[in-house]
Amino acid sequence: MKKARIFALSALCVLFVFPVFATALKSLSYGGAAPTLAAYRELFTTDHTYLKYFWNSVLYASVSTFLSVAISLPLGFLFAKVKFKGREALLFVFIAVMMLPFQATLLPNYIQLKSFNLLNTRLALILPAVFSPFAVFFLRQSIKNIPNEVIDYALLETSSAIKLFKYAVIPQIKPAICSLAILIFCESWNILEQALIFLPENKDIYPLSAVLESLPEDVKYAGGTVYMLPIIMLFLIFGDELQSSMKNYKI
Amino acid sequence: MMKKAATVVFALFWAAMIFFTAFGDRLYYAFKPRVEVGEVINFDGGAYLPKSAVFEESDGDYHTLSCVTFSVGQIVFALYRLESRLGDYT
Repeated sequence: MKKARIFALSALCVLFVFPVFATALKSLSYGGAAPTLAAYRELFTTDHTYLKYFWNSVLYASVSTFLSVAISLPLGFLFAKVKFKGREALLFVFIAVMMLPFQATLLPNYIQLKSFNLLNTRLALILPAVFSPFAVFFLRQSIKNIPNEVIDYALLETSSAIKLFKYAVIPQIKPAICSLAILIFCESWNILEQALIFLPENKDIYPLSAVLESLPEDVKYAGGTVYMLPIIMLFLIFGDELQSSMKNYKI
Repeated sequence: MMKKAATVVFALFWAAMIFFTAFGDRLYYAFKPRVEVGEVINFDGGAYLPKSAVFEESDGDYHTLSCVTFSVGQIVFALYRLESRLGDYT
């Protein structure tokens, strides 16, 4: 039974990992020649538009991550530690919105962005990603684990909310913040539908995910490999923290 | 160990991205021949190029023509091998 389980899990692993390896291996062939880095040379020295879109993706992912964590931290603290009327009902609304697929909120987002004249601008991709119910929920779960006595003691020492966060809250939930940052980065790195719908007339500010399919055939695999690398590296570096925070904060 | 290796590769990856963003353009043109074309004359279905537009390699004569790839706003020079040359009747 154990062997059958190991075999089944190994087969699933191969199924998941095979496309990544196949893409990376195929990226080393160029024009049918022996393994070579010519495709990468073509990608980086001949075609600079690839790098332009790459840095667009980096901008969207890093700004969305930073702002999302900054906004979700006080909100998570509010839902975890501050008692106020209607807290549970509001939390229920957050969880309900979190359950919705993003396609359900695509049209309301489009209408709002249009009314604010933000379509075809970079903010059209950043702003919807910044206000994330999942981030609030995630941080709420982690802040709940901080003993109330720590918060009370910090409040006795200082009446400043910023100092409370800096000395009492953030040090306790650093792994959770790190994990959340990785998850939001990955989500923002892979945006596609939002770029196609919110930026219909400004292809210059597309993220890399939206232009991968239009790369020339001989550099497509190299472009795909470079696109995957940041996420794979982030997981390899912070994978342990991600797993432990998911386990500790019962997500 | 794995984490350290991944961190090093990550740092090298970003260094490479910044390097190619800053110098990729220069690297591309540094390895291409410089061609000075006075004037191209299109006549009778053919193109007449000045002598300076042709450069000689060991395996034949070549000239370059510009073509546009999917990269809008960037001209790529393609290398063409001359099959034959007309005599200079001037």
